[in-house]
Amino acid sequence: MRLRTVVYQERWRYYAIFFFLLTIFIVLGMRVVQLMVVDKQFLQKQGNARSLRVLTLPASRGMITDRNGYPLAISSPVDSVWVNPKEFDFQNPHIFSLAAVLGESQDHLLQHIRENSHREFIYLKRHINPKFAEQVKTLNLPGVNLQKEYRRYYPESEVMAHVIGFTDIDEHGQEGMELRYDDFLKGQSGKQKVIKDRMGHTIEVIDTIQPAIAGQDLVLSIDRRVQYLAYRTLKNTVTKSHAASGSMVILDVKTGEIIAMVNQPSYNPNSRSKNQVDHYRNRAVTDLFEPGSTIKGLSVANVLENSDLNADSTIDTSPGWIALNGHVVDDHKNNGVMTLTRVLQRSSNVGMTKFTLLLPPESLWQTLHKLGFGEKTTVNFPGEVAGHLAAQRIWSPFTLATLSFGYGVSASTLQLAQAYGVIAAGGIKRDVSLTKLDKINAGTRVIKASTAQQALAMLETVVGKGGTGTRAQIKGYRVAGKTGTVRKITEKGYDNHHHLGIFVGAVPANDPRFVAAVVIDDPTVGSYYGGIVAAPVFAKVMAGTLRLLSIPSSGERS
Amino acid sequence: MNAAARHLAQQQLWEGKLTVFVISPRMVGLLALVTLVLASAFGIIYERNQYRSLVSNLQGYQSQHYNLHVEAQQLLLEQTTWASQARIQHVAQHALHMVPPKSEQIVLVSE
Repeated sequence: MRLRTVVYQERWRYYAIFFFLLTIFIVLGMRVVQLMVVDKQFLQKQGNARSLRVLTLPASRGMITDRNGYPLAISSPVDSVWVNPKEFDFQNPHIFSLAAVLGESQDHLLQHIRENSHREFIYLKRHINPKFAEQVKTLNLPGVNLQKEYRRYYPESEVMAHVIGFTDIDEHGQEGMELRYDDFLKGQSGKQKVIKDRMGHTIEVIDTIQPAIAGQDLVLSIDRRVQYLAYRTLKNTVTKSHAASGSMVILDVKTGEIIAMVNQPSYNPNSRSKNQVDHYRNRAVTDLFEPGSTIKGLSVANVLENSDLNADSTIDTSPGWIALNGHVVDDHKNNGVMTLTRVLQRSSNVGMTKFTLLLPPESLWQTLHKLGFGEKTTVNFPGEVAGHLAAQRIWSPFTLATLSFGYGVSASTLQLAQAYGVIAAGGIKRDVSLTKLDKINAGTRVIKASTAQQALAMLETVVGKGGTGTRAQIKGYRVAGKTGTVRKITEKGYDNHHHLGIFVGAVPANDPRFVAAVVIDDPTVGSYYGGIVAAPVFAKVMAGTLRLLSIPSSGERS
Repeated sequence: MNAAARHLAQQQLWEGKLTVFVISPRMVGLLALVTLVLASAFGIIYERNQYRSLVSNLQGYQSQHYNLHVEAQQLLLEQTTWASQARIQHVAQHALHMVPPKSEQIVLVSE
């Protein structure tokens, strides 16, 4: 075999080349081992630090809209400018332009950055217009960066302020529905791991650690047109009568939804710094008052519910006063013999007392409790109060008498509206709601249909001729309601100079669609009577509401 | 494989003539594998490139989406500001001199 011999003879060359190549391979292999095993962690880290980034995917907060989908709270994207003082170049000639765009003096800006030079992140200005942000971007200053954020705007401003509330600068709900439905409204910002190139472009998405979930939109039960009408009318009245405050609540009787809820004084949620914190309160649910005579409509319902008496049952109220447990309950004048209807129409304390004392003493408490007094409503509004309706083990006649005309019990405007809502709905109590309901709540029956019907008919006489609430009449519609004028409690007991004017009523009385309660706190100019200060607010707002929501005229009752 | 290759190469070198490749089944298998390896390598290169260009496209669309979102929100804000109840009232009263009708002026038409 010639071949074999040749190969054999040249073997040393073969080995020389073989060992040469082997050495190269071993050297390469060792280098690989060094990089892959020994220095792996270090190198991996360095590589990742240069290219791997975790991005935050911002999630927007949901809108709040009225019942017709009209936006009442919008999150608009804005930019915040931040700087890393350690990367900032204090000698850059464009600093002047930056200060100009941000609307600050250059000295102030530089001082601010110098003071924080030990930090790596400070905001220069938060929430600037995207137009200005673009300008900042084009300046391209080292260390100056932009961060995308959202800012909350409230287009209806003070009209909706109490219901909606507001968020802080980081979009966390602070008050009102923004706070109550914070979890529902807020989105969840996502996280994504990406590889970026030298220029900052994402070239590869490694992993979406958490997808961004946008917040949901909240649809309120409020109708913004009715709300505006109520707000404007209430504001007018509060301003004209120099009242301390005022509240109004309008309920949809058929569903339990709150169509409008307004208060005075209000504030502008878009620029809050100048406002008084005291104005932030949604008085319609957070402030308590004694309902006074407005309770009589409910006391009458209690009489009808728990006895055989009817609207025409009579009682003698002479001589216009009655002594109970050493206290005196009196009317303004001697009304003589009155029917139950007349007692309500003329708002007689003595008549109401005498009728109530005919019943089992605990019945009134039970009725008021069933109508929602002394318990928070289902709205569950932040800061909502339950009110007071104390149960007594032994009801003294005087305590019972005062309760029957609305003293010794306290409630919010919403609770008062809710209680009348039950009467208007024919004895059915529906959960009140500030959010639009998809399906109508069937509710639960708390008083007899016949009781509610009779009470409503009697409440209509209050607004009719000879009643205390004639100013609540609305042309073309039948109105049922009750006035109330309450002396305010001060440290020295009941004050004869400070009053609440209240009106609560339902329209149209033949088939109630809406119940509204108006409370004017301490009107000092003009009359303070509920029938004079609060009833016209009711009439004006409800006339507009009926027209806006196309409720057919029911014809006036002769 | 090295031994086989070497063998072939040496044959040519020292015999001084080119041997004709024998197309053995083993050879066919080898070539097929090499082709497949190359094809998959190029496939990966192509895929990577494709992926990166798609990601870059996606980024473009995402930023476009964001910009449109910004614009939409600002237009919405503008719309709601122009259409706020307070402004409607102001325009109706002061620019258009509209007044709510008095109750005497309203005629109710029953069905």
